[in-house]
Order: sequence, then structure tokens, then C-alpha cells
Amino acid sequence: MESKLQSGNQMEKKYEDEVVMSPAKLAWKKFKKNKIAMTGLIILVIILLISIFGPILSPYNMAAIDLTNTTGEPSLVHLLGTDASGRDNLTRVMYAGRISLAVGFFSVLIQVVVGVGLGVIAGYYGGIIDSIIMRLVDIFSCLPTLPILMMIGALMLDLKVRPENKMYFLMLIIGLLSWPGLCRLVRGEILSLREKEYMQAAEALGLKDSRKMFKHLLPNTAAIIIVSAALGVGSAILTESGLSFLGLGVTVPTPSWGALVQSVSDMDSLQSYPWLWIPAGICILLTVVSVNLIGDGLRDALDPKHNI
Amino acid sequence: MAEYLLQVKNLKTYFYTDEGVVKAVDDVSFNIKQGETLAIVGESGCGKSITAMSIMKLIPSPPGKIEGGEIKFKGKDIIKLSDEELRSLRGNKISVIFQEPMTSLNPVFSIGDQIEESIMLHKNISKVEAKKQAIEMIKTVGIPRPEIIADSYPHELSGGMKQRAMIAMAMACDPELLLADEPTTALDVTIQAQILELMKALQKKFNTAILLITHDLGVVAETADYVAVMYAGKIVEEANVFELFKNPSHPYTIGLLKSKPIINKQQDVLYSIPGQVPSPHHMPKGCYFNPRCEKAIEKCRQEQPKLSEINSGHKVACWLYEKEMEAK
Amino acid sequence: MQEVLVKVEKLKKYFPITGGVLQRMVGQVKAVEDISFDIKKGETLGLVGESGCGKSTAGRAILRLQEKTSGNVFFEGRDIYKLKKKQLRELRLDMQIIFQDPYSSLNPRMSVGDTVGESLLDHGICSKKDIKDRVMETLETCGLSPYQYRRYPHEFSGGQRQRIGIARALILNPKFIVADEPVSALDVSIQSQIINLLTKLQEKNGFSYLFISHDLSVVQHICHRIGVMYLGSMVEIADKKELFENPLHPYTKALLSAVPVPDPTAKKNRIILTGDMPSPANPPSGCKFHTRCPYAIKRCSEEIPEYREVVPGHCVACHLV
Repeated sequence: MESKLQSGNQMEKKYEDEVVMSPAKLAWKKFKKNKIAMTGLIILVIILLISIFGPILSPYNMAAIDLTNTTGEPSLVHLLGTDASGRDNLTRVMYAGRISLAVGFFSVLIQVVVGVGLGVIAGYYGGIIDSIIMRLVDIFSCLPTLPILMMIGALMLDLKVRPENKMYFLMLIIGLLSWPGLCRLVRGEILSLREKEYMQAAEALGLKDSRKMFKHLLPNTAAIIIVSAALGVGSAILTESGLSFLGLGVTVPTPSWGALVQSVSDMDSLQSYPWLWIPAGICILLTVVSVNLIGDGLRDALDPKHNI
Repeated sequence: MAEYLLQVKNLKTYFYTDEGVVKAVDDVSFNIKQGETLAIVGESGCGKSITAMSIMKLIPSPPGKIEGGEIKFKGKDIIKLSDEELRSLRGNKISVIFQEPMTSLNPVFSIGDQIEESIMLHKNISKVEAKKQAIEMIKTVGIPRPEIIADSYPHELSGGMKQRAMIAMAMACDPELLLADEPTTALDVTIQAQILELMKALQKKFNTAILLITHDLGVVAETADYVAVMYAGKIVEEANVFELFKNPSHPYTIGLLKSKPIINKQQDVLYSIPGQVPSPHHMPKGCYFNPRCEKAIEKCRQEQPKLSEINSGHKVACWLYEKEMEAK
Repeated sequence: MQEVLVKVEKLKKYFPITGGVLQRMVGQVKAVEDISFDIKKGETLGLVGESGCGKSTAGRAILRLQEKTSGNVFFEGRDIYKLKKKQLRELRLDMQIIFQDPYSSLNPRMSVGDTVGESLLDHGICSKKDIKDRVMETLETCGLSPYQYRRYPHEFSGGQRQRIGIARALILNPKFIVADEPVSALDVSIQSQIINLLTKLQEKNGFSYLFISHDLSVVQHICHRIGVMYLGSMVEIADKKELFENPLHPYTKALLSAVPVPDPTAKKNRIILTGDMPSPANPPSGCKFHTRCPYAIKRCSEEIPEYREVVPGHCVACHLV
């Protein structure tokens, strides 16, 4: 027995000497092992870097018009050709990245903060608080998005909002219109998690409500939130493109990927000038796919049971 | 000498997982005579359920595989049977009752239908006749109002009734061997008593041999004729039930018997076997039980003992009995 | 005379059954029906019964983890149902629970150290640096290696997880612990380890247990007094020795005889009960046990038997006693 105890202590000592890894470091380590997720991350980082530094390094200004060379085919001077006003397409695509990515991520951020916050509170407290929040969700879900967006678009026009600032409004609007879905999901998850035995244990320990909500319930909804957020980024970018088409998003000359795709809309132009819309479309595709891959990887990395 | 109904020789069932090979059943041998009850007792993870499932070739493959050995039922090796031949055995000559009746009964079919299906599959009789036999079987297992129950669905029955229904299904074709995998573990103790009485009565009536898998030594004492104790995939002790409880020899068996609080036997501190069951991926060298064994000697840490006879009918796999084994 | 720590008076817990389009109450599951008992300081009261008898529900109602329907529960003289939220939170430091399922009672996303120590943090009992020491100390007391505090529940076996659950309850130094079938989900060799641990902790700290179990042999080992429940009602309560030597209620007798004894030579005078447990939503009239009782007389189906003390400390609810 003695020898068993001794060897036990030796093992403990070795364990204590091990580098203490915080849960965040552990999650990152697991994430790194996931090759597919890392691929997604690398792609996204490349897109991000190109969007930020591309326009700075480009010899062209994204708004510089050159009427002598409109809708020019890709050449050595203009790698992705020029658009209808002679502007360099490549620079515009790179610059558009800034807009689309910003809109994508920040609108999702708003969606997550509002949706998750209200979802947790509704699911945890139930009763009248739940009813009120769910009615809010219902109202927001029923809002006819298009008419509202048009109203806001018209308002912005009226208030003579600067094109750059329109982007911020866009993020806010998209975020505020999409939080209900996530709120319902989170609330549903909280309702089922609430009945778990470890929540009863938390109740028995006399823990504060805030602790129960944010330290116990919320981390267990991480998987749903991550997946929803990943999907949300893609959705936001696509929504933005639709809005831009309606003139409610960013306006010329500010480009966004969606706007670039929408700029060519009749069959003729689509076929004749593929360089105008395909690059931006590919960028949207790559971004959405890589965000989803990262989302999956993150969800798995945060799950303590998932051992790669 | 009565012929053996089931002869299991050197059975090996391994599971191939990402982390390595798990030797769930590691060279297990035992025999069952007709009309006899053999109980395999052990704790979770010892491989007793897998042993029973191997006999019926119900191992999920992958990741499991029967790697070696023979399972002779009335002289024929089950492992070598074709699927067709195996199907004619299952439910017919060899039946199974599982631990959780709720998950083993099909919720969308009535009890009567499920029993009839089994009967019609193996016997060449009409549906009407099969239904009559099914109702008769339901009555035999002690379920009141058998005609009504035959038309009822599993969710309408209580736990005890469901288990009886399972037994009816298993016994419907008059099997020669019944594999009962923890048949009463999920039941209340008063219902357990009823079910055990029922099984004993049925065994007497139909002369069925029973392979009983359980972790409860009390159940073993009540129902078994022979007992095999399993630990980490191996049989460590085997004996007639009276002999096992009177002279438990393997330290694990002794430990198990000592750990269980017994009614009306007061003890201040319960005996407990130190340590825990080894992980299947990190089995110790030598005898698998040696890290937890208080009487372990050097040989135990080096070599694995073989299951050998120390007394008439009493076998142990332990180096402490080396002399007795050699004497035999 | 020992002090009474917990007093339960005519406790009832009914669950509504809703049905129909408007979800009206169409019936009630009478999970706990009018039970009363005391638990003294340093005493272990066992609560036995089979599934559906209401013992777990009673345990939770006593801790107010489940709201009662009627009746009273007093802890150290205070009515716990009259306490406000903040006072109840403070009271939780004195009353704790150990759960049956070591797999679902631990949050899979929290490390062992966090799980065991968070109550100290949340109640502001210790500073952050002291918590680590207290957690490690408690883990060791419960038979776990103190350095395991960084690990997650899924890395442990069932027995070890149960120890974590015990450490979580223990670290607050409670006066009263409800142990809800704490060893039922464990293997026999681990059961004895945990039972020994619980006994040792009680000897050292002097707390009271309400030990809920269906396993009579375990209950006999660890409890001082034992109450037997059937379909929500208390049918018998007595000192351990008295209950096992002189059971009065037919159900208690049947329960005792039903336990399989690991001794093949033991003669069995088994009382086999007929039929199954009735549904608590539709309990039999009169004495709830009469449908299965081998000694039932006409009166048993008509009149509910009075729960009374027949011998000092030994109470029964049966017409035949």
C-alpha cells in the first residue's frame, strides 16, 4: 500500500509541474489541431489582410474615375479590369472587403449581444419577464423588413447622412432585425438546460441568479451561439448586398461586395463582363465558408468532452 | 454425464477503438448443462454483457469483433454458422432478455404482435394459432387479463409488466437457452422478487438453461446453480453456488462479498476494495487485479494466472493457489 | 435528548396533470402525501421506498428545491417556506444535497475546482486565493487527489464524480445534508468506499443526513432511524434495530423479505406481493397498500389508517396493528 501511495504522490508532483493551461489556451490548442478549421482561419485572415492593406498598396484610388477605360477587360494594368466608370476593379474589390466584413461582423455582434442577453433572461426567469420579451421577439419578427428598411433609407437620405456613416447604421439595423431568431434559440436551450441536475445543484448551493445564468447556463449554449453567429455573418453580408441594390446600403462610390455583385444585373452584362461580378462573389463565398469552418472548429474546441 | 448444452471455449471479443484495442472478453471459457443456471457476476466494464452478446453474435461490428474461440451450442459452433442458420437459432433455441425493457420492446407494436412475430418466424403455424399461443404465454408469465394486454402497447405497461412481456417474448418458442442480461436491475426490489420467482418457475416448467448476467450477488445466490466471477474481461473464479459463497477463493470475489452490506449483519466500517477498475487501454502487467490486491505477490505482477481447478468443480485464476493447482 | 434540527410537518406535494385544449388541471399526482418526521442533530434518517413512493420529491421539498403544496418544514426552528429569497440563500449554506446521478449533477463545462469552490466565491466566504486551498483540502478529505481541481468531470469515473459532488456539498460545512440515492448508480466495490466516506464525514463533522435509498442493506448500515414510504405516504418509522427486528407494516415486511441475500443456504420466507405499484395519479382508496397487501381486510379499502406511535419511537399506519 505504501509504495502505491508514494507512486501516487510522484504522479501528483509531476502534474503540478505541468504548465497550467487556462481554458482559453486549451481551446486554442484544440483548435489548432483541427486542420479544416485552421484552413478557414487562414483564409479569413488573408482576406482580412488584403482588405485592409490592399487598397493602401494599390496604385489606384478606389473612387478614381477614368472615363477613357470603362468596362475594360482584365489586363496587366488593371488586373481585374475596370468598372462602368473606369475605376480599377481590383482596388474596389479589396476596399469592399472592409465594408462587407465590418458589416458582417458588427451586425452579428449586435445580434448576439441583444439576442443572447434577452434570451438568457427570458429563459431563466420565465413568467411575465419571459412573456414580455417573447412578445418583443414576436413584434420584431413580424416587422416587415423591406418597408422599414426603405423608410430608414429614405430617412437617411433626408437627413443627408454621409455615405461612410451609412455603414454604421446598416450594421445597427441588420443586427436589430436579426436578434429575434437567436433570442428564441437561446431561450429554448436555456429552458431545457434549466432542468438539468447541475442547475438544481447550483440552486442548492444558493448561487446568485447572475452567476447561474452567466457561468452555468450561458457557456452551455456556446455551441448554438457560435453556429448561429457564423451563419449570421454570411447572412448579414448577403443582406447588405440586397440593401445596397435597393440603394439603402452603401452608395456609390463606396463599394461593398454585395454592391459590386449587384452592379451588373442584366443577363447581357453578366455574360459580357464576368470580371465585374465574379471576383466579389467569390470573396463572399470564401468569407462565408471560412467563417462557418471557424465556427465549427470553435464549437468543438470549446467542448471539454471533445478530444481531438 | 449430462451433455453440455453450451460450451464456450477461449472466447475472445475485442473492440477496435481510436485509442487502441479493448479486450472486452479475454479468453473466457465455461459450460452450461441443460436446465441449469449459470450466473456471470462482475461489475460494470468487466465484460459480462459482451460475453452474452457474443454468444448470440450481437456484437456491433465494427468496432467489435469475435477474434477467437468456439461457442458450441449442442455441438455446433455458432461462430461458424451462416446468417440463415443463426437466425433460426435466435429467438427460437436461444433467447435474450435485456436489462431495459422499455428500450428493447418496439413501442409501435402491441405486445401480442411482438410475441406472435417471434412465434410465426420459427414455427410453421397460422396467425390465429400464433395469437392463441401468445396469449397463453402472456398468461404463463403472470400478467393478468392477457387478452387485453396482448393488444396493449409497451408504454401502457409498468416496468414489471414490461419485463414479464419480454420474458413471454423470449420464452414463446420454448428456447433451450435463455440469456438474461441484468433482467431485474432496473426494477424495484419487490418486483425483482416476483420476476426471479417467475424465472425459476419457468425454468422448472420448460427445462430451460439460463445464462444470467448480473452484478448483484444476492440475485446470484438465489437463482444460480453455478457462478463465474469476471474481472477485466477474464473469469477469475468459477464454482458451484454453495461452494462459492462458502469458500470464496479469489481475492476479488472475497472483496466483493465483503463490500456488500448485508441485512442484519452489523459492521462498523464496510470493507472496500482499494483503487478502481483499470482502464481498458492501460491494463496492468501480470494479473489484472494485482494493483488492488492486498495479497499480491511478486509473481502476480509478472505473469497472468490461468483459470485452474483447486477443488472439484471449483476453479480459480490466482497465484496464491499455485500449490493446489499443481496438486490437481 | 438531542436537539431537533429539521422538523417536517404534514408535508404535501402534488403535481398538477394538465390536459385538454385549454390545459386545465385534470388530475393530480400526489407525490408526497402528508408526511411528518423529525431529524435530530447528528442523526441519519433513512427514507426508503420503491420508485414512485415520493422519497426524492420529499427530500427536495424539505430543502425547498421543489416548492411544497402544503405543510411545514422547520430548520432550527425557522419555517423555511416563510423566508425571503436572500434569507433562503443564506440558509443554503446549512442545508445541502448530494445527487444520485454522478453524470448529470456536475456541469460538464466547469472544472472540478470551479464546481467545488464556486459557492465559496459566490457567497463571499473566502477570498480568491484562499479558495484554492480550501478546495484542495476538501478534495483530499473526499478521497480525491487535490491536484485534480483543474480537470473536467468527464475525465473521472462514476465513483470519483460522486466524490466531487460530495466535496461540493461539504465545502460549505453544512449542518444537514440530503443524500438522494448517493450510491445507487455505483458499482458495489465503489459503493462501499462512498458509504464509508459519508459515515466518516458525519463522525468528524457531526452533521445530520436524510439518506434516501431503495437499498435496505445500505440503509441499515448507515442510518440511525428509518422511515418507509409507499406511494407518497409514510407507512412506518422506527429505530434501525427496531425496524429490522420487529417490522410492523405488511409493506415493510414484504420489502425486507424481497431483498436478495448473498447466501444460497439462507431459507427464504419470502412474501411475494401481487400486482404492481399503483399510479400516484390514481391511488387506491383507503390504505393505499391494500391492493397488494396479503393481509388486507375490508376496512383497509375504506378507511385511511391513522399514522400513530405504537411503541415509543416506532410509528405505523396500519389497521391491523
